[in-house]
Parts: sequence; C-alpha cells; structure tokens
Amino acid sequence: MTKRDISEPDLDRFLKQTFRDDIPPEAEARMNRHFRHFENNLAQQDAQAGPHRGLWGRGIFRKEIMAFASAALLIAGAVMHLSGNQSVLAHSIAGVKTVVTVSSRLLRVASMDCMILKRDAGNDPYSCRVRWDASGISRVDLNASTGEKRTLWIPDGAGPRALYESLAARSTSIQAMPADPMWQPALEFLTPAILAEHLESRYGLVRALHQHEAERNQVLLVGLDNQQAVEVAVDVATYLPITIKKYRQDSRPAGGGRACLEEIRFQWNQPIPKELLLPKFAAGSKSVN
Amino acid sequence: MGTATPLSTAHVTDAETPAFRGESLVTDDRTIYDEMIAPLEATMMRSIWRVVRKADLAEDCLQDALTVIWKKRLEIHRHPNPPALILKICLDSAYDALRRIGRMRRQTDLSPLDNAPADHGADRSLEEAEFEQQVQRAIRRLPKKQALAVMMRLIHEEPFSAIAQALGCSEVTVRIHISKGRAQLRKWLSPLCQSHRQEEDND
Repeated sequence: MTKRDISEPDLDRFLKQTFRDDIPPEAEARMNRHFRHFENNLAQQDAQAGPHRGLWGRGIFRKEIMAFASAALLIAGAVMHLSGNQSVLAHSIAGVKTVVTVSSRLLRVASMDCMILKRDAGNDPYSCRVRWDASGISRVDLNASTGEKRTLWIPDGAGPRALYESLAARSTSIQAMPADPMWQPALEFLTPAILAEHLESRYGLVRALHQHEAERNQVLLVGLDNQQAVEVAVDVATYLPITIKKYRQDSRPAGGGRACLEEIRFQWNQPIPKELLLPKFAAGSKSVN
Repeated sequence: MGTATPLSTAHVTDAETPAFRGESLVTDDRTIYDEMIAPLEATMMRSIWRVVRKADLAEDCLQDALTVIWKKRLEIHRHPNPPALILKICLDSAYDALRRIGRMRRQTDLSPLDNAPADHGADRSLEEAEFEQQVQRAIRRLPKKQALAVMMRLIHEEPFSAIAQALGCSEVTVRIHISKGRAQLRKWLSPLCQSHRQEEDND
C-alpha cells in the first residue's frame, strides 16, 4: 500500500457511488417482463402437469393420511350438504384464494396510481390522488372541495420527520401528518403493501355471490370496513384491484342504485415521472398534477 | 438515489416464515415462487442493475440468475438464509457477465458492450461512463469469492453472517475476502478515484 492509495472509506464511497441504485424505469420494466414470463411458464406447467404434481408427485402423503383425509372430507361434505352452507363455504375459500393472489401481486408492482373520490354524507365531496413507485415514495395530492390543493410526500416506512408538505408553490419538511381528516382516506392506500394488508385482514373479503354484476374479466370481492360495505373489483388477467367501492352497510345490494360513499380507482405499473415523487423538484412547481 | 437495504433486515419476516426455514411440507413450485422469489424480485433486479448498468445485459443476467435459482430451488428453500443466497446468485451472474465482457474485449479489443455508455440518458458525461467501466473492470479482475464478498458487503451492506451463509464459508473467511478485495481495489482504483475526486472538486 502506498501513500497515494485512497482511504478505505473513500473506496467504499466510490464503489457505492458507481454501483448506485438508479435503475431506469425502462430497464426495470424489461426485467419485470422476465419475471412475468417465468411466472406464466410456471402456471402453464402446473396446468399441464395436472393433479399428479406437487405433494402427490413427491409421495409426501402417506396412505394412512390420505385415508383419514378422505373420511374427513366425506363427513364434512355430508354435514355441509345437510346444513346447506356449501355455497357460502365455497365462495369463502375462493375469496381467500383470490385475496391471497391479489395480495402477492400487489407486493411486486412497480408503480401505483390511485384516485380516491370521497362523497361522505354531510361533507363536501373531495378527491385524493396517491402515486407510488418502487423507489418507495408516496405522493398524495389532495383536491378539497374548496379548490385548495395540497401535496404530501411520504417515504415508504419512514418516520414522520421525513414527510414533506407542499402548500401552493413551496414544499417544506413537516414533523407529523396533518391532523386534517381529509388525509385519512389516502393513508389507507398509501402503498401497495398497505393496500394488500387491508385486503387480507381488514375488509374480511369473500367472493361476491352476485358475480354477474361484475364487468367482464373481473372478479368481485365483498367485505366490510367500519360499518361500510366494501366491493373490490379485481382484474382476472393481472389479479390486481381495479376499483374499490364503499357503500353504507344498510343500503341495498349492488345494482340497486346504492349511493357510493367512496370510490377508489387504480392504475398499475404505469410510468410515473420521477420529478413528481421528489419534493425538492416539486417545490418550485405550481402545477402538481 | 435509493439506499441499500440489507436483506437480512429487510426480509426478516420472510426469513422467519416456515417455508424459509424448510419446515413447511408445501414445496410445490408455485408456492416456492410466491414465497421465495416474488418478494425478492425488486432486490434481484436492482442488485444486477447496480453491477452491470446496461439494460440488455441486466436482462440476460436476470434470465441466467432465474435459471440457476429455479434449478436450485429446493436447495435454496432449505438454505438458512435464502434471500442472501438469491442475492449471491444474482451478483454471481452479474460478475460472470462482467467477465464475459472482459474476455470479448480482449479477443476483439473493442467490445461493443464494454464501450457503449451505460443506459442513463444522453446527459451523462463520458468521464463518468469511463469511471464506471474502470471500476467494473477492477471488480471483474478480483477472484470470484472476493468480488462477491466485496459487492455484498460494500455495495449491498449485507452483514458478515449473511455473506458467510451465502458463500458457504465462515465469517472470518468473509472478512479475509473483503480485506484482500478492498486492498486490491484500493491499489487499482486509487489513481482513478483521485483524479475523479479532483474533477468533482473542480466542478
């Protein structure tokens, strides 16, 4: 080692700087395609292999276990048939499977663009737009009924110190979420991971019995949230949610002209300009949309 | 610029799942993909990108890495630290790609991959591209285990224990790999880093 050699911290800094984490969206999208292609191949293999795959194929189940399971299934089938609950159970299982698939898909999306339209009784309607990408920043644009526009940048998993709020043309670091309840709906859909958590555990979703009311290529899931009925329309091609609608719990079932209290529309994996997700660039900009 | 998140902390929950501990009986392909690969998709893409920094090459590396991961899926499933092992496989693939570029360059003396600027837009300076290539060259000149240990530690900030598990050696050996790799890199990169720093100071 000579005196002219750089120090270890300098070397570390140069390496980090050179091999920085700045994957362009185009490259990310191209690599993402490989995962989807890989996944599709896997699904095709599963379909071709049929029922003799997995646990059966590997001989994990022993005869005794299978005999016991068969007997248990026969008894369960008879009980369900007599009780008349088979449809509910089937829908419940299908719902759980769908929710799990949706949830796993949500955890691997590259970006989320979500529009929240709130029409609470007694309050003026207002809208929120939440944009998130894999860099981990969520941007929330609030359009109040008064015409006031406010923007928040919330880093993924960061503490409140990392929040930035933009009022009109400036953005400043703030210490905590604004107390205004108008921000609350946005917090529910701040990141795909948070949304996945709500779908899995908060709404108690099951597959809707009235699937005929769903649009083509969609699956309808229904659940409850704070005494509101929740309907989630899932795209069967991507298994990602397209819309979430919330109604008063005591209102009539879908299709009967129920008043929708909140509607959330999603777009997934669309490129989001990087400058929109960086408060320092947005600071000088008056146009946030 | 995103910050490196150590896999060992970012995926603690994953690593603690029964599937990752190898306790689950459910080892069908779909489950393995959903539990083991899907949560690491972003990490895999980013780890490869950070080393090769070219979209075409990154795609090839990802494809190679996926093939290896899939062939070794059951081994990974039973591994004490699957996320670290998957990261190692991705970096391995990126390192091999850098080596391939080096070989092509030596054979043709003008590898298009080596001389093309990385995919970062037109505003990127040639000096920066050249600097990047020099650092990549230095990394690929290191023996594989040294290069992997250096990349896992210095770029991805993985703990020594995770690197040891991924490389299948002791923590002491990992420290030796990193120390030797660092010493070589300091030797090779010092003139370059100093001139780069001077340029930055002048700017």
